[in-house]
Amino acid sequence: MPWDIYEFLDHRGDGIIVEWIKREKIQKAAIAVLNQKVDLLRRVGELPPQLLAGPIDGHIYKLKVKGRVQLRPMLSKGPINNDTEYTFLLGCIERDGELDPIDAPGRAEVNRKLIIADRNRRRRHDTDF
Amino acid sequence: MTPTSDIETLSKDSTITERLRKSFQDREYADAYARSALNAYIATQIKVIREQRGMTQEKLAEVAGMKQPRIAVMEDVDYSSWSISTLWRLAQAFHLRLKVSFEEFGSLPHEINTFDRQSLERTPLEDDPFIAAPVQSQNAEQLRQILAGGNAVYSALGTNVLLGYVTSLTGTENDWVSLLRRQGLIVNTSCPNYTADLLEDMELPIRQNPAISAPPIRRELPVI
Repeated sequence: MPWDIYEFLDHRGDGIIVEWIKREKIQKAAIAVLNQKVDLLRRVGELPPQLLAGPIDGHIYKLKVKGRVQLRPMLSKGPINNDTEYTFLLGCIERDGELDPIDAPGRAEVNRKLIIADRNRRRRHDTDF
Repeated sequence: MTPTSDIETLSKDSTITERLRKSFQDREYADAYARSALNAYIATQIKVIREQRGMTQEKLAEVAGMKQPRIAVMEDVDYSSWSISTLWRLAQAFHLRLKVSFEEFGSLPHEINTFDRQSLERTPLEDDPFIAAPVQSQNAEQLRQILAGGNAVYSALGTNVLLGYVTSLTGTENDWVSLLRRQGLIVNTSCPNYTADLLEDMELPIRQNPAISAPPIRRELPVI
């Protein structure tokens, strides 16, 4: 059963993952792998083994994208409907076992709570990142 | 999990297909996406079939002559160091064959859109309908006779009677497809139920079946 995928909107109303990809100048091949994993998540949730790592900090998961740069975008189930949705909350990279930004799980949790308070702080993600 | 409607699902499927059609015009993107999809497919299928067999990672490792940590490493969508010989050992442990095939990029959207637990499960050799005991020859002959009657028999009996007959042979209406498969009347259909599509699928194999000389069943058969 397919899941709905959403993306948190920053204070300017821009998608937080799209902006992170631009800011970090993430390479085309890594974006392709990221999109493939999002397609898997959309299609079957957590059936593929090790697709997500977590939960860390309560509700936050990392989507693992292996490559030259270890992409670890943060997401959670829901947070409006935990049975049908995932929402990407923050872009993150892992270098030598350390997250960048280092407080990524905490920041992702803040964004999750912002969505719970105001559902307009996210948009549906049906395209490529 | 709350299911989305069929229409929503179809809409999402076509969205993915259209998106990939565009993205795959870039060769580097297509290669990276397809490689990631392959790794995810294998890792997920190993996990799904192991669970289908009721095996722990330890048990699978024991049967395949490996160590459990190696199974854990392979059950990871990011694992990419596959070897044919290792996959063969897993296939043997699952009582399956291994198929490796080169494919066009254009077939990938369909694989993504149909990817789920059920599509990854496989029946072990001992339960494979292909080698399972055929129905009794007398029943098979009766079935051939009914099917050989084509439209005339359908018109006379009605589809419900035919389905009832199949049920009487197999115990359940759901065995309709497997019964026809065993008789060689259906070689390949993704249709699990006796729908109009299934009857259309029957048309060609029936016409080709030397056991049946009567006119083929035609598409104006009643929709069930």
